[in-house]
Amino acid sequence: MKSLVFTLIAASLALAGCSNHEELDPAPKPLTMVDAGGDAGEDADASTPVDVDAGTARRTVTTRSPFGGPIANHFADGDFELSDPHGGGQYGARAFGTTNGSGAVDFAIETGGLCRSGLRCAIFAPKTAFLLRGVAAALGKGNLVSFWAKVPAGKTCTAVSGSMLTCDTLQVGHAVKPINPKPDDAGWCVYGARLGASPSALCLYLQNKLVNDETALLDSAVMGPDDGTVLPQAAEFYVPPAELVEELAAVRDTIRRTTVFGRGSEAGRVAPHAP
Amino acid sequence: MRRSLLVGAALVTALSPCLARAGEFDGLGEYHPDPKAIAYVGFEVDPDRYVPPDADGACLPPMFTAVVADDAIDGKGYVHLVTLPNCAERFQVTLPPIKASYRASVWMRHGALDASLFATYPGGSGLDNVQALLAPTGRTTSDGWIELATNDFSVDGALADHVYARVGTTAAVAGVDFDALEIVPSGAYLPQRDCAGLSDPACGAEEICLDNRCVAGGNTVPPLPPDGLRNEVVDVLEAKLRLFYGGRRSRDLYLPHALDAMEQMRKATTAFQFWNWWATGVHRLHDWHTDTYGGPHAIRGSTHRLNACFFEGDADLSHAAWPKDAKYADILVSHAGPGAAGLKAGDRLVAVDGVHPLEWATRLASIDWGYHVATDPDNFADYAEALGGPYWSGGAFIQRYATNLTVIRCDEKGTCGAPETIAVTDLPDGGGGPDVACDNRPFYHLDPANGPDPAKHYIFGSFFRGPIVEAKPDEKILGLVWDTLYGGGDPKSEVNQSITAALDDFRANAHGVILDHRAGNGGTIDTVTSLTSLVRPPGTALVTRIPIEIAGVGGPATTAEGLAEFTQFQSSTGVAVGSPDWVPSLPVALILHRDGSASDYFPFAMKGAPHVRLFGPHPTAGAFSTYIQFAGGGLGFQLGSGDSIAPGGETMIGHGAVPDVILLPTQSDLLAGKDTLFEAALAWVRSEAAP
Repeated sequence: MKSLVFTLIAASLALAGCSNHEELDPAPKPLTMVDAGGDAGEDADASTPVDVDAGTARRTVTTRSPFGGPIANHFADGDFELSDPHGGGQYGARAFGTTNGSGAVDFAIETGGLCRSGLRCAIFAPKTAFLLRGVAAALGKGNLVSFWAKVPAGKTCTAVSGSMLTCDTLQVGHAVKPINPKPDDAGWCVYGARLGASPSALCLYLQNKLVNDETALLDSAVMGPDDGTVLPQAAEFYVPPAELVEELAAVRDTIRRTTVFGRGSEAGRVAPHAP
Repeated sequence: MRRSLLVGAALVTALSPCLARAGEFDGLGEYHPDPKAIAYVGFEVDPDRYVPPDADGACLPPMFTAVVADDAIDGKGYVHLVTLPNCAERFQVTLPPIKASYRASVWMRHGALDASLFATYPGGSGLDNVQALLAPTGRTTSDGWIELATNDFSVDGALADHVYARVGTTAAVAGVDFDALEIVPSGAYLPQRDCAGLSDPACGAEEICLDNRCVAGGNTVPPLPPDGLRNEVVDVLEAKLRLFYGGRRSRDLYLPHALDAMEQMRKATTAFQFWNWWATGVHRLHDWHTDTYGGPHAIRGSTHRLNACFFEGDADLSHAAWPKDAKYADILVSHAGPGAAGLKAGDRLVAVDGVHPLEWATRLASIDWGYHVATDPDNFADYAEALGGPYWSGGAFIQRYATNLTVIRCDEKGTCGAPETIAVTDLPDGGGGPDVACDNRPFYHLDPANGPDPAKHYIFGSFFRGPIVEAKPDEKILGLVWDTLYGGGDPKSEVNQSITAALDDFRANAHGVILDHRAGNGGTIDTVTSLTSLVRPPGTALVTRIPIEIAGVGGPATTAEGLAEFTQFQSSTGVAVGSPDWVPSLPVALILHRDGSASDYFPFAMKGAPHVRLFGPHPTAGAFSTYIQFAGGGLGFQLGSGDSIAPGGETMIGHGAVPDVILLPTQSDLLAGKDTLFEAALAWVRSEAAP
């Protein structure tokens, strides 16, 4: 395994820029999923900084795609690279308030190397939730899901939780649980789930138990078809808590009322500025 | 592991191509500006701030604080930006007094920036201001800094009065850090120059002739992704289309052509080539909801005016002078204002740059980043509407891109002249009066005191309602003119209240109704439900499967499968229409022309109601879906996504609602002051109206 990792990293670095101290990340790669059944495995999206002198270097530098990934992610924007953080619009990642009617709200973003992958990740604030829109796997295949959250220092991974829903109805189908209860040394937790086939689109709903000024980071949500090597846990009995059901009913109402059947607002459009 | 990384780093030096970029980092992570930089703002001292003389008073105070810290991108200083809404901060640099091409870059972290590099010229210089987009290059640091850069942009430093980075902060918890504004000579200077439309070779491959000026395409697109990421970027963007675009018919008809265009991105050698192939691919999806944001635009605006609106018609008086096209309908002037080269309703536009106007418009798919078209392949109404009208509503294609137009003028007696070709550069500017908007209504039929202003045609979000003036008062034929269906799911919204008031009025006072919805912009489904409550009993018009449900699958492949899906999902995503309180005796005519999305669902749900008749020139747009938006990395776009299933199991995307009475406005009617579609609708309502 280590030799394979070495080979992959060396190959990716061979594609990098001309500085001796910068690298390209990630190299082109297929859809990579965390194994929800056990070991989180190698972190395919993490940076591999060229640490020439970890004791004194101010920083390391990489080049990452500003347009997200991995290539065949079944989430429209699991990487938070292509969603306008303002509350309006029909982007792949949207934030909702969990109080006062659960309307769409703005969210803030963190940048670059502070994120798990890419140039953007979402800042998860108390009393908000995220809905990530996706599509179900074709050909009757099951679905594998994972995402990453960086929780505040001292918190366990249960500070953030995920649920897989059918996008049309927002009915909860499956919990997306932390692979390990404690975050890694950098504070990141990985969550995963294995779902059965679905005839309707699947969405990931993210909640948190944060309070006051606490925030978490969300990044690298990935969904793809189950390759069939492990039986889906579709039959797992899961009863969503009543408060989640109530919260989702409000979000569903917001989405249904406001889904645009038109050209839409100009949100996100880049208009020429007055100088 | 550490050994492997060091070996990997060695490979970088040995094998990699050099990426085009500004300064470099040393092994300690300290940034060093490019030695060739001719301007650099390290924010070690107070920056040179620029405030335009016409800036809003709220934007005058500095919107940044200086920070001294070890985590500056270089040195110890950077600024922390918190700009107010509708304000921006500007950091000024000085360029040498020469004509040169440059590349600008900055570093930022936490949140997002709306950022561009500007060079402004004083009035009378003959030069347009320059605006170059600052977009992410992909370079990032472990402490969160990301680099934004422009592509090469040209400045005449002897004439420019201000050169600055303009930045506005968004999506930040507590502001955005900003450092290392750097300008490096790069590329060859491109002088600003005039051009005479797209067919004029005056502009180079990296430019577009827009408003008779060569506009640098690279100024409005992100940088070219570095070599090692380029194919991955193409793969990711193609995957968005493969997985999320469209429904059954739109994927079958258009997706392969779009992907063919995107494959050309891999061979691109410049940022504009790369991103313009991407935009072309998106436009080849040929979908009413699908569009790119941003893209090349003119700073100056046109100095020529064509204040006229065009629509599809039947040029019955001038086919001898110019025959009808085998594929496309004739194009007639619907209405015009001052500054329209003397064109008036009923005149005919026979060619633009020598070809049929609609054929010419289709060629803009690789040019105009605001381009979109009906999903139904038999509907060209969007092209026709966009030929004229103001640029600010997405129109003015001729004014912006054409070299010449050929028209046939006719008089009120029905006598038409010979074809006349007019150079766009010969069109004078001005003429006074408002710009006319294009709504495919040559005339209005409500009391002018309460109806739309025929000098403007500004319908937009407004509702106009009242008695039809061509009918006698005791006929009690009422009309409604409106284009929006955006109720927003809120019964108290202005749109829903206007619809409710109209329906109440019709129920109480009408013997017949004419609904004039000839520029239907769509909206939300609640309005479809409410509008149909007048004319049909409760039912399910369609089942929506939106956005796309299964990765890369547009919808059921057969009507049998569709019927099964309709049944399975009717209770969860069915479009409920009608009401027990519908009015069977009331004839309702619905006039259509350029209608899409909710304005597809609406006529589809109206059609077949016992006392309804639809009048229009062709099917509606066939946009039976919603869309998913994407924005980031300096790009923005939206993809139509999903499909809808009719009660018979048919998938509907790309199949517009077909009018019961298909009619084109005729040239003879227009010249006689008649509105062909309205006349037919009124005649039918009269024939059906209860006394």
